[in-house]
Amino acid sequence: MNTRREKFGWVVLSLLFAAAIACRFLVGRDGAGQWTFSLPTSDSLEWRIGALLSGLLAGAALSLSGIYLQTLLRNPLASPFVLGLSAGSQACVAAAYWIAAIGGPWLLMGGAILPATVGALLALAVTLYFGRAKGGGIDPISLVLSGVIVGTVAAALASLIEWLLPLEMRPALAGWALGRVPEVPELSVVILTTITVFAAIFIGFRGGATLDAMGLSDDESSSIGIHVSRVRMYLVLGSSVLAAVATALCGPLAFVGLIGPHMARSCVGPRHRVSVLAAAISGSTLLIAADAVRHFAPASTGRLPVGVICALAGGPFFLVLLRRGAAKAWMR
Amino acid sequence: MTLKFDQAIFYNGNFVLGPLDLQFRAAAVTVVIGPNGSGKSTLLRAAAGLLSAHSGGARLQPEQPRSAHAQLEHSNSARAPTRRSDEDLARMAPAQRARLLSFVPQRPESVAGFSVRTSVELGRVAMRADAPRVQLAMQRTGIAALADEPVGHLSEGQRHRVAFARALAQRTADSQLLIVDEPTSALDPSWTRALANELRHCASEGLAVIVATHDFAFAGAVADDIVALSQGKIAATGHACDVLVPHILQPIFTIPFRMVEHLAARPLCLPLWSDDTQPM
Repeated sequence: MNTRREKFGWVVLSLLFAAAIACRFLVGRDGAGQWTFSLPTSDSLEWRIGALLSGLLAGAALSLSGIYLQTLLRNPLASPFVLGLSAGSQACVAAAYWIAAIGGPWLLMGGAILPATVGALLALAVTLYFGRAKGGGIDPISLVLSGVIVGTVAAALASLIEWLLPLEMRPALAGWALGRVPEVPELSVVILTTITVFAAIFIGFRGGATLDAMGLSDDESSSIGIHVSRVRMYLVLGSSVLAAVATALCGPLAFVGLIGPHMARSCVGPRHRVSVLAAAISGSTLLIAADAVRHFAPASTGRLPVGVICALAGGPFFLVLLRRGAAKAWMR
Repeated sequence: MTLKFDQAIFYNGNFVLGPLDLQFRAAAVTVVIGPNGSGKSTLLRAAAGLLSAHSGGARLQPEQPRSAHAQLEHSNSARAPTRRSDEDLARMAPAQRARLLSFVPQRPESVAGFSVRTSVELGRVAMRADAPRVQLAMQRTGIAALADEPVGHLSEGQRHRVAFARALAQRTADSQLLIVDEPTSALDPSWTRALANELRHCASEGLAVIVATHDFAFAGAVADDIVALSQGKIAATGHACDVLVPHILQPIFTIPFRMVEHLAARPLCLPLWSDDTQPM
């Protein structure tokens, strides 16, 4: 069953990926602001490639973060947005801007990635602390509930900090906070995101069996030779950094990190050796497609943030998973 | 090698197990019995090095040399470096421990989407892949025909056999211990019998096999030694023939037992459902 279905899955995934890229590459606005399918002109070429690159990297990073969180928590509902990591990053980046506004722009020298990572780690820590059942085990639904609340509070905090910023600094941050795929991404962020994404894919490929073994109960994975607490710590760090780089690049985006891993597993199966790479491709496909769809909104409304599309498409997906009892059916 | 507990005390939440002085012999099946909450699972987790001891600990020790000749050979074993295995199992690196022992929990869990083969192959995660051994483990547990089936489609008994196959696949040349927690609760009689044979087979290959069970027919059929626990302490221990007898089991389980028969020196001592003491 595996190899045959897996090959078919890879073909489907590659076709979707190629279609999404082609779509985003060809869609654009003509002089009148109406959307058209056309080859980019020399000025818009650079923008479209920039947007493609941003979408590719951020989508992959979010989806990788999602698959690692799902492995870490043995919970198919986990994702960087649902567990509050994205909002945590957002709040910390907003705080960094605020500090820079007071203390001078040199404080933001490291870019948004450092505060974003701190925020993601903090949010995950708080979510895990409150999502843990009293006995020590983790109930999948309580965890999600805890994450949603942490995310809501962090997002409110981010809005509060934005409101404290001087007026001239607000628009840049406000656009980012709604989720957008930048057409001119910051070079340092692109480089760091690329490194993180490739490292995550490589680790998934090399450590696939170890990650698979994390799906067993703690006693079993420990007795077959997995250093469970150490692997968990790597997963916490890795998924937080991945969520952080994606958020630094594109702002907090909902549900890409949830749908990506599910799409990957339904195409190539649950083994991490293949599903991690597939998750990266799925995430890229989803975000690039969402970024292309965004252009079909009426021109008079201005630029529709891609975060809106993600939330509109992803929310129902989450509800369907919840309804199907995915959290319970995941483990046997 | 023998698994030794030396005045070991373990905490599992509020539950205290011990102090225990125990030895699990190599090449023998030791069955752990006891009422619910008596500490069977805690003892098995401790034996598997999954629980750190409050004091003492679980150690693998070489068999005591019996003859003077063996002793001599033992003393001038300058070429053999100190065995790393004489170490608290709970403090060993998991990958090293995995080479020495395998453990099947009472309620195995796995990702429902994994195929049976993938699930069994996980037993080799910390060592060299070994496809023939995986195949053999699946055949011995009767799940080879289900190899490509997702684990989520299996019945509970079949999933238990997958977990047991994983433990078999994990075996290496260094393996010393096989620990199985209540394997029979989900198995039908024919698989219970097959499991009993498999455990005997593992013991005959030199492993110290430790099994917890409530099934006295199964216990009588596989046990060389019995450890009976009660409230975290050892209530009785010894050869199966000496422990699986009514006057020892009755006070532990507080219900009457009856000796049914000795089949080929294997005791069959069963609990009685009524207080009726008429011969059956």
